[in-house]
Amino acid sequence: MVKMHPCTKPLPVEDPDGDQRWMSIHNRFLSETREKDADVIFIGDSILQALQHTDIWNELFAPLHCLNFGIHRDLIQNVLWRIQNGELDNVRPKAVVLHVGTNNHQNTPEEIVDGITEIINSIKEKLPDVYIVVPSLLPRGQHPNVIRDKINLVNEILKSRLPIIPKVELIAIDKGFIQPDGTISHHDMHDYLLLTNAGSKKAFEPVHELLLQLLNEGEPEKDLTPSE
Amino acid sequence: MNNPCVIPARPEDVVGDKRWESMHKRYVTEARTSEPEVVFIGDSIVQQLQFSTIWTEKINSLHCLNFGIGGDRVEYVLWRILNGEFEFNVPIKAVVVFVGTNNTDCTPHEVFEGLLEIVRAVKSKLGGVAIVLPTLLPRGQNPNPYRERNDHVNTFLLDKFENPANAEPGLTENVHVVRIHGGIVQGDQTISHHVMHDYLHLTDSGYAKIFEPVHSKLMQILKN
Repeated sequence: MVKMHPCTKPLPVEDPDGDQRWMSIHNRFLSETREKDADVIFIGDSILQALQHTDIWNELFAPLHCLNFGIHRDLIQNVLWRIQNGELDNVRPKAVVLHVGTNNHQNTPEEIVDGITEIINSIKEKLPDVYIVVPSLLPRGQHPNVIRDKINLVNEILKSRLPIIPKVELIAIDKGFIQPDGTISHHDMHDYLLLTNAGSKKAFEPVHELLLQLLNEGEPEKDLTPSE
Repeated sequence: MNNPCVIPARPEDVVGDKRWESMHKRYVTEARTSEPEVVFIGDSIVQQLQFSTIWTEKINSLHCLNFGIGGDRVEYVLWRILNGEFEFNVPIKAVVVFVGTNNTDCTPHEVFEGLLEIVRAVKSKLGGVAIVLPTLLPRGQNPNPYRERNDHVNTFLLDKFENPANAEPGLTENVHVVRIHGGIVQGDQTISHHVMHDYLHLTDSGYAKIFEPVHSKLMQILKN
């Protein structure tokens, strides 16, 4: 019997009397899958959306033919809904980078990991051969706080759960942000949540390295015979 | 009938990481220890402005501080002005105030009254300083109630500060409403994601086009 945690139940962002921005963004992502070829798709929340506006995106990720499907404030269940409703339907990427969970502060660490696992299952249903890269969740807040503790627990559980799943690569990106005095610098996260240019380099250069490896793994061996 | 926009208030820390408080404290320290000539205060559109090309190449050379906080409502900005962020050690030449789009549950008139309260608060701290009020931007890919709301706020602002018949001593002097909301909504009534990547926040080229009039106004003010 599957226990239905809130994180495993796909949920769109409702906007009954507002400006429908979330649905507009989702629809635009659907168009992008029909118009563009991508080798890597980033999907997730605020951290990924903000990443797209850093220097490192243009320098390192754009050349890899990436699509960025990050939406600010997204919960795990919103990302789940987007995947189950078309955002991975018309594409054949070699890798998907999944990063979501920081906004699920009302859920327990177990619920959060259950939700991430559910997303991984959905991705595999759509794209059975894809590599799924899961960067660890980042700490937040200038000073030690309960959310940091929760995020730490999530990362611990991910470490024990994800390595047994084939073609899922968990990568630690959270080291180097908490200074010896326990604080996070606004030079790394300008609002103690979203990465600056410097912070995004620190966190996502390792992701870039990993992607290079994964994207090249499928390359046929080069013919080294000199031509006549 | 209380208008929430005119009552200084802090947001609740629902997440538990005290980020808003951290940013406020950092801004209070910056106010005390920096020597700016221009201060920007407002919501995420102000906050993200500091990462744009027009900021790094043009606006920041005017010696600016950026006190933007994502998600801020009118009443939070009001609170910040009255609680330390405007305690400067040097004379300020101009203040740019840009907030209101997040007060989605308030009427246009309530938002307008809140902005007037902010103007009064700025004047109470900095006397006759020049105050720049860029008009609120449209939002959403397609026509929607928030666009109309922001438009109405702009109508109230323009009427109050540009119509000599509405001049009010102690409130309307040296306040410059700068029109920046035109040219965003296209002929088919949509907003392009090339201007607003999520139909609310500006792209780099969006900032370059839309904040140029603010830059020009500041140049004018600083020249005098």
